[in-house]
Formats: sequence, structure tokens, C-alpha cells
Amino acid sequence: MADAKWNTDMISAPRILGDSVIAEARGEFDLHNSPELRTALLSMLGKTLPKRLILNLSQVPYIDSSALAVLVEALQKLRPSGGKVVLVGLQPRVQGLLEIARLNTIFVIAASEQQALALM
Amino acid sequence: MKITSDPANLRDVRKKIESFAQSIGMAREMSDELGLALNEAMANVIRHGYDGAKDRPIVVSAERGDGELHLSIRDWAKPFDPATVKPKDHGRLSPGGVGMLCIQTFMDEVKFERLADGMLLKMTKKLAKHDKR
Repeated sequence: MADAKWNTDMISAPRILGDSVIAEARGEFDLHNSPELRTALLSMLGKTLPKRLILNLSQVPYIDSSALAVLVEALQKLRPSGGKVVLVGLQPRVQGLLEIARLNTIFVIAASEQQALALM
Repeated sequence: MKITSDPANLRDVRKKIESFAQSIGMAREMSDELGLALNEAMANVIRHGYDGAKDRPIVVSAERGDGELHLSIRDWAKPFDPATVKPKDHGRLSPGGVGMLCIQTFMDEVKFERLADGMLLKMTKKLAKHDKR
């Protein structure tokens, strides 16, 4: 997607595979750049909500609560229509924050994109 | 160190404090916890104290104590009453209160002092792992 409204070095342009939207994030996300993560994810979800948003976080060593809030907001968008957010390749700090917040059970967690697609 | 309340400063301060913690013997996993707690405390000041203003002062200091690290965050923001922060309602689809939860979970002591012209948050984390959770 050449006209992405966000920094595609941080969040890739989405790929569509069936009823899934797949994207990769890279780097650390905190209050400074979580608004950009929000712009990217909400743009990907668009008007026609996908069945699942698969977000590869294997290149994301750190997120804070502001980025976590963005992930929750994406899930809140998808949930009414039965959609899910699948988080792929969580690094320890990211996994730890999800556990502390006890939000690890509301997302689908997968080790790889392949597994994420197979889980559905 | 004195910084402005620009979120762009969060990462640099966090990494400096994490490095300092490691240099005085704190394990990486624990300095990661410290860094997240610090980030959340500074983010609270920016979001709630300064209402997102990017040009207000925040002073962060860290020093080694007896087997522990002392961290303080001074701001000149409107008074903040930590008692008004609702604890996270576990199980609900909400990230609310996660920042405060991180601070309380990852730090051994947390003390908010209301000053005449702002707030002073003092936090302590032991250098060696112990069973807190």
C-alpha cells in the first residue's frame, strides 16, 4: 500500500489473506508513537471489518500501556462482529505486560503467522 | 535529569535509567520492570498532570541505596491524588489503570508527595529479586 497514512517502517502495509488482515509492527511503542500505531490499525480495519487482525509483534521488544490500549481498541472494533485480534510472536516484555494487565486471555496468541491462520 | 513533558523523551529517559540500574547490579529482567514503571509514571504526568502539554518540566533522578535503587519523579503539574485512580477491573475488556498497576506491581515502594507547586513521586526497587508478587 503505497499511500499508507503511517510510517511503514514501524507498521507494515497490511496484507489481505482471505478474511484476515495481516501486518507486522517493528520497534518499541510508547506514548510517543502509539498514536501512529492507532492510526495504522484503525485504517487497516477500515469500513469493512475483517474477521481477524493478525498483528506480528515478533520485532517489537517493548510496548507500554498506551500501545496496549490501542490493541484493545482494535479488538473492541472487531468483537461486535465476532472478529478477533491475533498477536503473533510476543517477546517477553510484551507478554509480561499483557499478563500484568490480565489482558492476555482476550487476544488470541500465536507463535507464528502460520499458526495464527491455522488457529481459526 | 531534567526533561520536557514531550512523549518523545520517554524512551531516552527509560533507557538511561535501565542502564543505570544494570550498572549497579540489577538484573536485566528487573531493570525492564523498572523501566516500564518509570515510563508509566512519566506518561501519567504528561497525560493527566500536564494534559498532554509537551513543554512542561519533569525532573527524574535515580540513586543507589542500600541494596536498592531510589527513583524520583518531580513535576509541577496540577495535584494528583493516586487514590482517585481506579484499580483495573480484571476480566473486563479495558486497559484502564494498567499504568498504575505496573507501578505498583514492579516497584517495592511507591509514595506520592503533594507539594505546594506540584507532585513528587518516590519509588524504590530492590536490586535483588525477591518474592513480591
